[in-house]
Amino acid sequence: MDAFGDSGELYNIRNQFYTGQFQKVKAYALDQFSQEHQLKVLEYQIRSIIALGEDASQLIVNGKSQFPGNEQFFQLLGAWDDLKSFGVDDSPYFEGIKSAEFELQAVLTAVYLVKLKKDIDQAIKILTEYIDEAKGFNKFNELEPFLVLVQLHLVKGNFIAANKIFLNFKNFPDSSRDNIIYQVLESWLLSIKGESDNINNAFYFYDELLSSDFDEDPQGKFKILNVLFALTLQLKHIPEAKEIIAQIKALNPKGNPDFLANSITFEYLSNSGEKVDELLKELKSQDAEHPLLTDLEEKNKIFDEIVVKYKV
Amino acid sequence: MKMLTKFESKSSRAKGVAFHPKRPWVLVSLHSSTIQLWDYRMGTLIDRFEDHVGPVRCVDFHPTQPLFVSGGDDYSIKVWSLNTRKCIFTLNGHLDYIRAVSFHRDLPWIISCSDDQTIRIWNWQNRQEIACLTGHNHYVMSASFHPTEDLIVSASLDQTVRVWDISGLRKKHSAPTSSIRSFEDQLQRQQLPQQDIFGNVNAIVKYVLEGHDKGVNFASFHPTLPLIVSAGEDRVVKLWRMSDTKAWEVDTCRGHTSNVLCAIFHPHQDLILSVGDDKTIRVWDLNKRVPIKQFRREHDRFWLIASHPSINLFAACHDTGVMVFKLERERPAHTIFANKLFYVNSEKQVQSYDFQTNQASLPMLSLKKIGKTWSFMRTLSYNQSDNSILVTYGEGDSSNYALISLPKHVTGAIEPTDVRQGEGNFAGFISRNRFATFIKSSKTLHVKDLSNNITKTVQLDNSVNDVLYGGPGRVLLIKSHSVINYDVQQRKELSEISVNNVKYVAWSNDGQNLALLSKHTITLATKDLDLITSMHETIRIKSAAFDDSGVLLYSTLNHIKYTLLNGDNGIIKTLENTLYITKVSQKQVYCLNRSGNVEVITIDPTEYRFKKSLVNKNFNEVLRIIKNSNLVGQNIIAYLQKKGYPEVALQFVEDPETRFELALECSNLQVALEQAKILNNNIIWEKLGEEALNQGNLEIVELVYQQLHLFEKLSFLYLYKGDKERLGKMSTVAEHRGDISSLIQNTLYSNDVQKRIQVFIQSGAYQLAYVLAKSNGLNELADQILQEADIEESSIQLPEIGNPVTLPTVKSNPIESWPLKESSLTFFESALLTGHVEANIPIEEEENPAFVDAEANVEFDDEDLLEDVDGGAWDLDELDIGDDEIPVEENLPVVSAAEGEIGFWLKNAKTAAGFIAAGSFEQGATLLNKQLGINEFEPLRKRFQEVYLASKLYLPGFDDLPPMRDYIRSDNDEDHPNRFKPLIPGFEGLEGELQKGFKHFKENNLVQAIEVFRNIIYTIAVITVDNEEEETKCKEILTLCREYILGLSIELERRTLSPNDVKRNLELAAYFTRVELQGPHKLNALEVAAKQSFKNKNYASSAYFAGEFLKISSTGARAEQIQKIKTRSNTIASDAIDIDFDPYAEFDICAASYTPIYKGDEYVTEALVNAKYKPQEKGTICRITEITSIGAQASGLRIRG
Repeated sequence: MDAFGDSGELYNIRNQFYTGQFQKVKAYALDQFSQEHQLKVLEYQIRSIIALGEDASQLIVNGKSQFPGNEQFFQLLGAWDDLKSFGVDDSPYFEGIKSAEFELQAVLTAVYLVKLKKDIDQAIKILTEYIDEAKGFNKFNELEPFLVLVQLHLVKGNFIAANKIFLNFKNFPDSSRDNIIYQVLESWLLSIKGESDNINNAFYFYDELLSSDFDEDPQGKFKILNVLFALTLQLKHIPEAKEIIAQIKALNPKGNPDFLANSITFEYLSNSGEKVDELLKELKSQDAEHPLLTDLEEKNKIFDEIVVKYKV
Repeated sequence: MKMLTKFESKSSRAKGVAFHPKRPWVLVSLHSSTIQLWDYRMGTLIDRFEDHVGPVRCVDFHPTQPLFVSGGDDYSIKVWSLNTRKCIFTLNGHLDYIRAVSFHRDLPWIISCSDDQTIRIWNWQNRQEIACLTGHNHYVMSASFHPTEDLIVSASLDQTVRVWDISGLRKKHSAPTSSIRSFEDQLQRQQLPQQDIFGNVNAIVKYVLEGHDKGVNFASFHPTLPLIVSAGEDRVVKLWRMSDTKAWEVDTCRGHTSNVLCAIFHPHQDLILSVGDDKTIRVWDLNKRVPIKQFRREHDRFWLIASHPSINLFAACHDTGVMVFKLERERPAHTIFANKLFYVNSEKQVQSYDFQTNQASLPMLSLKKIGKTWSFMRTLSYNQSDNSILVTYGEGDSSNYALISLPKHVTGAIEPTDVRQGEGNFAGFISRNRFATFIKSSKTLHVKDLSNNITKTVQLDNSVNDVLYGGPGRVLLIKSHSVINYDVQQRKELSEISVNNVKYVAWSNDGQNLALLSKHTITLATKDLDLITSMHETIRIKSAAFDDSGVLLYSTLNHIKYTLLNGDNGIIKTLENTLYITKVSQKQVYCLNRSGNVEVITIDPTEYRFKKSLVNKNFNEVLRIIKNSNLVGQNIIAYLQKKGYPEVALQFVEDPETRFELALECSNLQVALEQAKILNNNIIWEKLGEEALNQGNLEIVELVYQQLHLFEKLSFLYLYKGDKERLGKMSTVAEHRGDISSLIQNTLYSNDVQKRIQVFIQSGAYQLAYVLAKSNGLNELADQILQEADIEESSIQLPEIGNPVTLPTVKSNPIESWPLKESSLTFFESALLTGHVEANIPIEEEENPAFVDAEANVEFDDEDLLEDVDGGAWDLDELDIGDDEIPVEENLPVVSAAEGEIGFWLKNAKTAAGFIAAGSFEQGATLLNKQLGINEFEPLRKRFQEVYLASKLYLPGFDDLPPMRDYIRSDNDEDHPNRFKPLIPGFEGLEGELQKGFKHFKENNLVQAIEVFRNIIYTIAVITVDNEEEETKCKEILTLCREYILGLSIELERRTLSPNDVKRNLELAAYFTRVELQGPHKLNALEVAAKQSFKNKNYASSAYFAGEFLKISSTGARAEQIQKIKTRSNTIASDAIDIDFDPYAEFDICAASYTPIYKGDEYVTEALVNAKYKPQEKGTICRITEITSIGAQASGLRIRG
């Protein structure tokens, strides 16, 4: 039986992990799960703790002794934890990886490359190679590399490559499509594909996620609201967008550059862009390298040239 | 189960009723002696038959012949002809009231029963009674033949039901084929049934069914099973079964509270229907013998119920007339997804039909256990992502829905396993994982997820009666007099249309249009509920579907028809049985019939395609159809004529008369002449002559006059043509005809004096002849006349005669026909003449809707372009061709081949704003420079940024990774990449910005006001609008902004002047009044001018400005003050300072120097707001816009996307 399937024991924890309900993931006791799945559960927990910005090193050490024979796996998690909790910019571990050997390694290495090395192309290369070539890779169950890969393509604005990967899923067994990762992935593509139907479907997907209990995990709720905000704007539903802004503000999230970026669009659509300058300033202070800012900078340069070129 | 009344007649006491087997007719016999024939479909009384004396209790149509029979209280049976509508003959014999009468299905027999206790059988061909069945010992209330066997069932007040065997009668009356009987025949005849005790061998009692405690009013056979149902005065309905040898009572249905007068079996379903004195119609389950439903009338006792032989209809007679009804809807629930039709068949099983393979699947799911046994599945909705269906069933408050998963593999009708149910009058999917339900009683709309949990509840207002599918995320709210397009997610009413009692909706394949169906009306509207057209049908409308090209096909009870979006419609096919159209694909119409099967009907779409092509001016297609199909008929010709294409109609017609009329209509005299020759009819010739005269075609006029022997007109024609020779001939002709008056007329025309004198002489009018000769100086001739008349010259007294009158003579040749400009042949005529049709025709065999649309658009664009060319604003460089190609200068970086959304946007961009939103600032700037002469871009920086950023979104994804790029389109409902365009903000806010500007104006913040108006100009310079209306509005706003900026700049300038510069001060104040401001604002300008003038003793001017002020506003404190100025000024009426301002001259104001540009002066303009400048300003930057170059070559604003 597929442990991730509808009735499998990992179904809930996986959904919670990928929808940012980290406190819930953390709260599980390992022995609630059968032996064979405990390692996966531990992975979700360690990653959740790291994502919450807490130190996971003790859990990693314990894991190493509890699950012998998985040194490589725990080494990876350790490196990831170091990166996050010590805030170093360089990781000899990730630097040393030229091709991934297992799923999590592929995923985290790609994230490392993008986040700290700003090398999206290399990340795409590692993921593509892993998906295409790695041995022992069970692609029907390991969807996370696809998720990261699709996002990287979309960050680059390459919808065609992203969609190609997505269309490939049609050949996967139906059970794969029950996977939350598949659904998240689908929602992105639906939104970017555009048209009311598609955007609405994406919207409903997140709207439904919101019905889970997020009391313990405000950062998870914020993430979902953040996506909903973008989708509502895409649908041009301004009053609903205002409601979402109110909800997000109530959560008072710490860093929110994407929300700020989308708020700029909202300003233009609802308020003739009056607060745009203010928002741009705030965005700059939070994330000076946000794609909106780099893009805008590039466009301003072009505009400067235009001004000079046509001046008589 | 629901009683659906189809027809009701109002008349007193209907006693008998019968359905016509084929036509939509019912016969109703009345207690008043009248028999009525109704068309229940149209609701009209066709005829009345009066021949009986007293009540008529029974009627019946013949199953095949145009006959009907009736029986009355006058003891007589009458047979009537439906052709002549008269009674053919009367059968007499019964000795008391006749209770029932009917035809045999194949033999020429009639059965009747009477209060005289007998049943009689008659041969209506030889009009003889052939049997009299006795045995009942009280009134026989009903008697009828068995539908297939040689049996009769009768019911009597003697409390028995009897079954009679009449096989003997059949044998006796089927004539032997030859005189020598075969052995078998002899043997058969020996085995005739035994005689009964009365020695009656024709018909013997087979069974006597006893069980009713009181008299039996009615008994009838089951159509296929060996069952009998009877209705008694003991208030019960009894069911009986027979075998070959015996018959027995099966069960009793109790419930009626009074006399049961009639009971019959449902022809197709396991139901019994009964009616009675208790004013109810009751429906019973035949298998369980339990009541299912009852329908009650307040005051009317029911007498009889009858079923239609083939259609699912019943008729019931009652005290105040007759009602025709059915027990359930017959529209099979169905829905279409992609290329599949999902539907519920007659066995309540879900099936699908594949439009590509034209095959129906096996039944996949049984819905028998959903709801009650007899509840009907009303609607079906399908969800692909979950492979599940949503059905609604039941009626009124007990209406429910069920959400059921379909099996993955179709193996046959399995029982559903996972059924999620709930209350709802409507239920349909509105997205991949949501459906909406509507509960009528509480007027609530729920949105539910696939686990049947409510995720959203909307309380609708009380007037909502029903809900229908409204596209993704939307529903249509149906009210009695309107339909509302409702966005469920936003809880927002998007649009509304007035239309009454809508029952169904059909959406076009592209989701752009919809058809709202009421009982008798179809309303076509766009998806935003803008009315396109609406039409009325006298016959009930049943279903509708759009074909691929947007033509609506719809079915009524008996027709398949079509309608184009402009309302032109017609009949495609007549139907024998009602069908529900589900999909139209090319020539195939996929329908569901009432038995829940798919029927594919092949139609000939030529007619509507032809009309559509004509309406869309797709002439190539029109020609192709003309060439390739036999499209004829009055219908098409009339249509062509009506639409203004007589020359096309001409191609179809052979009938000379029609050809003649059409030829006249399209001014084709040659064809008309040919036809006139064939027809050779005076009226035709006259019409031709008149038209020829109108056109100045004198040859044909001449021919017509000759043809019609209109000599006088002919002579006059020659006269004005100046054709002397012919006039001479006309004289000769007149002479031949001996028509003296005509001859004289002709000599007058030709001024032939001698001839006229001769005529006078010949007719003995010597006096006239003499005077004429004398007055023309023909003295010799005059003398001759005197001699001939034997008169002395002296005896004649003539007045003094002057010189003979000379008439002008025609010098040139006779005039020819009026010269006409050689008319060019129309598209059709030349194509038909040269045969070069095929070359013009697109290769596609079938009409491609997108192509048609595109062509229509292009044409429109062309017109648009022409206008502009006339306006002279176009400099006709490569920019203005209106092609999709983007003007690109050689040295400009070519747009990189971007992919995805940005790629579409770039490809589809037609305006500068489109390019800028897609990130191609260079292209945008190039266009702005060429179209508007913009050279100063800095002020547009903010607008560029706004246009670029407003359509961009950042979709957050995986933690720690950058967001994904996402986009906002101008229209999310657009589904073709060739029309994907970015959202460009600004248009909606224009009004608000204007108000802001006005507010600053009012508050005397002139600098800020100018800034606001200027920003509006920048917004419009970089914008995309959808239509002409918006474009016009933008242009109007530009003009408005220009005037305000100009006016306010003048006023600011005036305020900065040194107090000594009085002359300039007064001039500027005067110019300010010439700017086109809105009324109240103009008052400010006039007030300033009036006061300044007054102050500086320019009284004439101040009187003028004050006058202008008072024209706009004449009351209030301000007006009073101005009035005083005016009065004072008028007393002096002179100017102290001479200024450069003539209030009565037309002039514009140079926006740089603020001096007048009088009419006729030279000036230059700029292209964005058309501000005017003195020529010396050429090449500088416009003071109004601060971005455009004055006098630069520019093609003009282009903002339509």
